[in-house]
Amino acid sequence: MILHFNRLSRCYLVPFFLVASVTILFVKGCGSSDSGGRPTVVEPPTPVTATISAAETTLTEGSLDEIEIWVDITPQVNRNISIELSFQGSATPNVDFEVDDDILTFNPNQARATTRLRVLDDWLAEDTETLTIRFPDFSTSRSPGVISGIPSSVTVTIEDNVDAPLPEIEKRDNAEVYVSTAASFDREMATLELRVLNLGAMAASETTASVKTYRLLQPGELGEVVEDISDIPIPPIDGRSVFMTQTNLDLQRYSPNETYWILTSVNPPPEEDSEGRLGNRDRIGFSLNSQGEILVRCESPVRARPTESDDPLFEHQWSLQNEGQNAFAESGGMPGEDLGMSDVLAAGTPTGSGVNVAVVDTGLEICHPDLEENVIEGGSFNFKANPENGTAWYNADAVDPFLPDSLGDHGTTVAGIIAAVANNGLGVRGVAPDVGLFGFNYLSEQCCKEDALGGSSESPNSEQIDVFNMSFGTFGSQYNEPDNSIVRYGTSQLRGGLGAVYVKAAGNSFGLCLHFEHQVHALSGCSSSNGDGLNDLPYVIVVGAVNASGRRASYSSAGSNLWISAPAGEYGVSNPATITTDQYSRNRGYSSRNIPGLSRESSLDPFGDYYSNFNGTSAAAPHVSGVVALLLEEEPNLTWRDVKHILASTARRPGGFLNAATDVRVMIGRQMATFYRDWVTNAAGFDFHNHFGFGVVDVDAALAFLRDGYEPNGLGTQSLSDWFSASIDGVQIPDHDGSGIEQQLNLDLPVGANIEAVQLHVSGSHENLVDLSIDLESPSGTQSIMNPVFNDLLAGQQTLDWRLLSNAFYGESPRGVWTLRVIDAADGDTGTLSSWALRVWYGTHP
Amino acid sequence: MWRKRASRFNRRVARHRDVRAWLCGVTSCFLAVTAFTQTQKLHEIPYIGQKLLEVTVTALENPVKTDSGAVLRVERQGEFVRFIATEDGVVTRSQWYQGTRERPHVVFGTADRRFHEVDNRVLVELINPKQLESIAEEVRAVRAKHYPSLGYSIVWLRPGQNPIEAVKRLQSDERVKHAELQLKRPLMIPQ
Repeated sequence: MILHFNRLSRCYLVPFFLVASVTILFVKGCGSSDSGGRPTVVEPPTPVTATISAAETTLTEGSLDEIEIWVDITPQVNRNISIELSFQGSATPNVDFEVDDDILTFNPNQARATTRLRVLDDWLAEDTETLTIRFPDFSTSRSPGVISGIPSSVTVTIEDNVDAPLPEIEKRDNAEVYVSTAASFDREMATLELRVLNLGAMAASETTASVKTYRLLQPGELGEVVEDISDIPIPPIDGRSVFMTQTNLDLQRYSPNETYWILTSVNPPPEEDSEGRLGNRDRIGFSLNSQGEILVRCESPVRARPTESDDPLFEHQWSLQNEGQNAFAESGGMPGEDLGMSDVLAAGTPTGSGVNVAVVDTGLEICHPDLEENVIEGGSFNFKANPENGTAWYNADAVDPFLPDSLGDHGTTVAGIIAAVANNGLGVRGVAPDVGLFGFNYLSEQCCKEDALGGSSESPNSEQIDVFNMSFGTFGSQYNEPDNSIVRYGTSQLRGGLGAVYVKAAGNSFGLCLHFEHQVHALSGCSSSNGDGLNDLPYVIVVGAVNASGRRASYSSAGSNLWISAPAGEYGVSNPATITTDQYSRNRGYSSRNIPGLSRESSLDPFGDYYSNFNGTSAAAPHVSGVVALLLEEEPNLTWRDVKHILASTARRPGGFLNAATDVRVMIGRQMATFYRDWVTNAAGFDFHNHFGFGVVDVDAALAFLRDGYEPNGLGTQSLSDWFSASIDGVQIPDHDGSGIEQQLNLDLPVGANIEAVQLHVSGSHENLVDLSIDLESPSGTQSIMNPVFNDLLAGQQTLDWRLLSNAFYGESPRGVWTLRVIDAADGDTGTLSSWALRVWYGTHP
Repeated sequence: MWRKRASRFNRRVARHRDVRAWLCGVTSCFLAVTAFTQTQKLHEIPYIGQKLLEVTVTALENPVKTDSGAVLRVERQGEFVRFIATEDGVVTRSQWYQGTRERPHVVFGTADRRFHEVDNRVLVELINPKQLESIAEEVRAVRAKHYPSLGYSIVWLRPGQNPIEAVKRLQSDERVKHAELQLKRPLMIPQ
């Protein structure tokens, strides 16, 4: 327990107790002896010598370090002893540091007593401070019989962690130009759309762009330039603005049966960074068939049947069974940090049989040798095949969501994680290798969310889907009612009313500090998962990513709307990524870039059909979709809420997470505020962490939980409360003050209700919303950071009208008083909270 | 006092994947532009949580001040068109377009103070969904689809067709319970 200093009260209390003790001794000794009236002889206590030591003598602000301080006494004596430590120096208690106990108590015969000291952060630029911890004057203290030994004090130095004070979030004082390219194809022409974006604050100079096409000789090796379109004029784009233009390629110039790359760049030529990546260029690719037309349909490659039945890459699939293998990276991970499905792999069942999973993505190679067997014939849909659509691809097939871009099909890589066929002698196996597989290339057209996510019974029939995998997201979107309607319908009506399961990637924005960086980002993340409106819907299972070492993957967005995490890995060069299916053939797919990894190990992938560098929460989500398919095969009567409940109830804490019990608390003004929380165990017994949701999915544990008498559809009817609104009329948010606004709201909801999700609607204005942290506390005392301080996606924005979701309160009672805290952690900009309201999804759980 | 200057271009470029994601998402947010407004009163369209101002026609030399204080104007520079929102003398949003490109339809949000490109989809709720086809024909839509499970229909307009005009027309049709403009949302991108 952390004791807070209150020297004033102690000054009064100590003399009071001394006087009282002396008085009692006097009365007892003089008047009421129990030894026949003889005066009591008080033996002087045996003297002991005390020394003080510290494990470290230098601490740094913001390091989350703490040191142990201990006092030894000799000889050991058979009495209780208390020693009060004194703290002197430039460092101030509860501002610069705090200690667990400032009075050390020794029980009889105890030789050592310890306390812990930790440094507090304040994000201020300060001089180095010192702190001397010493014994009191034992002649006058309440420690009779104690004398000072050597050493009698220790001095701790507290070093500052802020180099220089800077008053404002950086307004970019340069221009940063990026370009992206999209293509649409006609019979004789490809139309390229160039989007040139200036991320900087200053206007970019007027310049030109160029497009060059090359024939691809072999992975990563380009041949001659086929077409060179230079001097595309680019105007002086303002800061944070975009320019769009188009240019055309003449397909008559290109030879049949070849693959080409299109490289787009903006002048001046970009400089490579240390990893060889460039900002202001982009590349896409395409292949031509034997008629010289763009390849827009999946054509089954002619291959000899494998002679072996084992999946040759299975031993490298650490996400299914992590034995510390390198998986084509330089080093391996931590054994056991995987999906926890060793029992399933040993038993060979369940396999997802009878369950339909839709990969809602860029495309899907329905004739991929390792996927074809599981693809439901005629079930997939290509939104680019509708001739009424002005951006349709020439000759595309409505039931073949083939992606013409040859530089990697995200949907095909996602599909392999879920559904690659097992024991067919080819490549990898999926988590659920017998599922029925559908592909909807929604991301290639962005037109038809209703059709892709279960709202359509024809063209396509998405109503036959049990699990929708959504390995996509956006940045800077907000709640919108059509999205909510679609997934609400799917969860309430599909699967005969049991509800389809929506599994979605949380996002890859943890390190996305576009506007400024701050030390707190190392734990809270640059940009939160709350920047994607779909993540703030309770009907969606939001999935974070962990790596092979059992830690949050470096990119995985954090937020209170996460439900669960799953393996995905890092980049596959230094540390393992996910191995999965790629566009087939060596000159197509992500592997055609010839980056380090499996693509250079041709003996295990002789045709170039696989990729060992796939990552992102895009890779984590399909692991969960596969697991959901296993659960639904095991018990087809599970509702979508059952699935969520089972996953939450059986998730485990990742083994590689080392920062246990370290919240980030910082002095803002004169008040401490918490900006990052470690694992919390809520009042219903669920562990939650903004990095992981309820933890990492554990397949064997989930199946055991299910088999141990779990009753499907036993969570009670789900209800959604009305909005409960706080009665405020514009409250000023105190500037740079850790106490912030603290407001309360009583929710009168039924006895016996259990929270399934809580949504906060908050509105207001602020000169820079990035300054704000938003924190919600339940009636049971569970606290959830719903918007992390310095959330980069809010940088420069002034208007707040936002719905945020937290899963941290799952299972608790919603009845009672909720507390909202809004803290402005930076000085200079001010603002107002206009309104806030809560609503709760709840059931009656066993 | 606490803030750090962040000129970390190289590190951001190293996060190329994330930057591309941001770029794609933000691109559609900022997509703006059409022509300009000659009148001082812009057409207001009620929309969830705010009013949208229709940025119309041709008055390039006549800036318009919104109730929120933003000044909207359009400039031509050679073959380019630039749409600008200025507040307190500071350009808050702008957008360049090639003058030759088919211009999307654009509105300016009074609450979020941004240009938005209007989608070519219109959401409609009909009294009798069987009348969708004829209603779609009347607004010269390229196609339409009813989603019985969701209780609404979507009408797709032709490229270049003005969705704002189509919504006005649908709203005045007694067979239509509700017609709603759709703004282009940030692109969904692979994660």
